[in-house]
Amino acid sequence: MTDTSGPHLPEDALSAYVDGELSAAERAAVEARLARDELWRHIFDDVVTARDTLRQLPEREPPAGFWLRVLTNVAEVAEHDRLSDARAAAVVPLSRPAPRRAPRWGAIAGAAAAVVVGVVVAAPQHHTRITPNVATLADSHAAAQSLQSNPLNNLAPAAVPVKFNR
Amino acid sequence: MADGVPTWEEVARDHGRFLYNVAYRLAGNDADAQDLVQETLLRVRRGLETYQPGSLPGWLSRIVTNVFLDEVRRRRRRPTDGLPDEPERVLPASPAADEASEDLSDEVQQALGTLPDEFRTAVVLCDIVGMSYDDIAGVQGVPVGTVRSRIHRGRRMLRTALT
Repeated sequence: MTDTSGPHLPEDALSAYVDGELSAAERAAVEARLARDELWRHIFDDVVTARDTLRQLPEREPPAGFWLRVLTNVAEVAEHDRLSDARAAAVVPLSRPAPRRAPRWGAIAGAAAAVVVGVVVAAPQHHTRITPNVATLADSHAAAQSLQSNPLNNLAPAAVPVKFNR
Repeated sequence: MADGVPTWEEVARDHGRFLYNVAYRLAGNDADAQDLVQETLLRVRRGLETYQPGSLPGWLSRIVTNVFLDEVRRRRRRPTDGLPDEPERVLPASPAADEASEDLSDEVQQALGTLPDEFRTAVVLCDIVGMSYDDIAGVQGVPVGTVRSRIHRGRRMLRTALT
């Protein structure tokens, strides 16, 4: 970085100044420099503009179906972990095979849908922008679940593994 | 919530939007933001036993940032050609959205994406999350002076990219 002020007042003191991260003595030094240095005033304006631009960014809406996919995947992994833990803890006589417990797909789907509804309901505003409405979608999926089928197939057609896709 | 420690479902319900916004600003697209949020919630679920009641947003910011930086390091170790996002995972913006605001937001996000990962992380944690330099230094594992430099240089790069 170019130091335009000498060894004791680097340029990044300007950002620390606007963020309130300097001591009183350092603040005074920055203000003195700003008073006499036009280049520093220009950089100061740039820093403030960049900072304000980021701070004024609107809250972003997740795309439709986002929470349904995320929460279903997390619930699925949680259920897998639960089953693994249960198997590891079980002491089973060698003569008798351990009964296989099917994953509780209904519970997973229900839990995910409930949390999705919670996320959407907890939204302070803008939730009507999401189309289709995630809460309605989650409710309809939850209502359609049955013991005979795996509702995750319906809940998360675009479900992805827990990793980046590149 | 027992003893001030929330369940992962409560974290998702109460802080999901915060997590998504931080993840989106770090990753720059919805597909990667989804992976970040998903992995963050998994780590939250597995780490709740060790969570000390305090600043939950701060704790979550630390986790989502660590997930992001882990992925950045993983990609650096195994660089691959950039693949297009799966079309079904990149959904169009809501038609009711304020288009001017969306355009500006997209432009800023694009500029943010031009910053080196470490600079972008420092700037997002400072200006989007509102963390102190000390806390950012803890998350990034670098001295406060390095954080200060990254934030300043990141802001100047951002300003240049937007003009």
